[in-house]
Amino acid sequence: MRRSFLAAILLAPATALADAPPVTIPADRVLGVHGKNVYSENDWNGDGHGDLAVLVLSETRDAVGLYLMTSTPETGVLAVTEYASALLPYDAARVAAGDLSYSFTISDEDYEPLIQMRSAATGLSLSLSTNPGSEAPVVFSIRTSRQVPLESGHRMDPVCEIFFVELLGNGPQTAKVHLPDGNTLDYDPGPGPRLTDWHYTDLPAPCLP
Amino acid sequence: MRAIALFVTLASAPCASADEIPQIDITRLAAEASGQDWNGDGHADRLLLVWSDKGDAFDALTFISDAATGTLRFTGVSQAILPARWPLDRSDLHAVAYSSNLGCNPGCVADYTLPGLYSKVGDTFIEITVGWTASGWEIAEVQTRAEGSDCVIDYRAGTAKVDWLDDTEYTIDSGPPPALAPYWWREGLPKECRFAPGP
Repeated sequence: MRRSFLAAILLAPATALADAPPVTIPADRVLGVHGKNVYSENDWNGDGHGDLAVLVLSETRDAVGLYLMTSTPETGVLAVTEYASALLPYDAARVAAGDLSYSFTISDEDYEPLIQMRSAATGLSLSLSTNPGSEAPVVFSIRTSRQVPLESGHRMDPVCEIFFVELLGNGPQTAKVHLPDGNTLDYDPGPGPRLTDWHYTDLPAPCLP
Repeated sequence: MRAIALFVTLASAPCASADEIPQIDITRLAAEASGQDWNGDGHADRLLLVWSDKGDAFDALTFISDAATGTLRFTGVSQAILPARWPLDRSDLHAVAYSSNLGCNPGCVADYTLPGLYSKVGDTFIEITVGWTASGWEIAEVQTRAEGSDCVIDYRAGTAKVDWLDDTEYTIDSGPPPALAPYWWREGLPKECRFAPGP
């Protein structure tokens, strides 16, 4: 009995493959992985098992997509619950030149994953937050800042501050874009768009690194 | 390039050919490292950790940039590079961190931040630091710890320092750096450093 139980556990990943068609992609399209590790429990649904977020290069290799995977409480098996296909733009030439990079980091506010896009050439850094534990994740906020070198160190100047939902310390649904001509564009961004509906072209151009 | 299923590749061959990009089930991804230049050409390289078929190990998939274009080239799979246990216990951990300041003999790449593949399963902890050389990926350093004993194997310096629970400490010859592709954590460790049976 014990032996068969152990075998069932060890074979669980393969069993999961048999239960549902796996989502497979070429390995070179994986840009970032955020799972249970030394830095984070990453348990969005609170079932004791780690959940998973993966940044991928789109099939057309011109956009960055995001897969969210949530564990099944009984088994810990992960299933894809959300796929946003064009969260951010991807420029292969700029990536190869060492200008653009994409990564995950952890939000200081709720410890959930932040998606980051950085440009070494422009000094712009974009962070996109979402609520991966929700049944219908939305874009919470998008913030872009510019790194300005100082004699000693640097400072970060805000470029875009778009809050689709009320976050601690911010009013509900506010958007402020610092335009290149020095003016500021304020507008109501509306409610948080569903992650799956979000397309990076929805963002004002100055916000993109 | 021809895409192939990873689980088929791993079942049929010790490692995938470097000209084939494996197709991977994204739920098997465990950790990733990128943004660092491991071959010294000015472009970022990449490494992925994925769950093995049986869930008792992690496999490593490696990519190195092409100096002229910056595009990534798949350099192979190393099966069972680290122990794992599926599903994870709350105390189990895994990650790709970064290591540096390793001992380095003439000719090796010393000035880059190297990826350290990290796994803790129960009482067994292993961190394997890998490096890219002219002859391909190799194991640069292994640290392992279990039940109060620890072992640091610095292959580039050629030494392994073993510190047992009873405070017995000694140094042994590590031998040359092993190649990454055939490295299996269980057999790769010198016998003096096999503190725990692992999962």
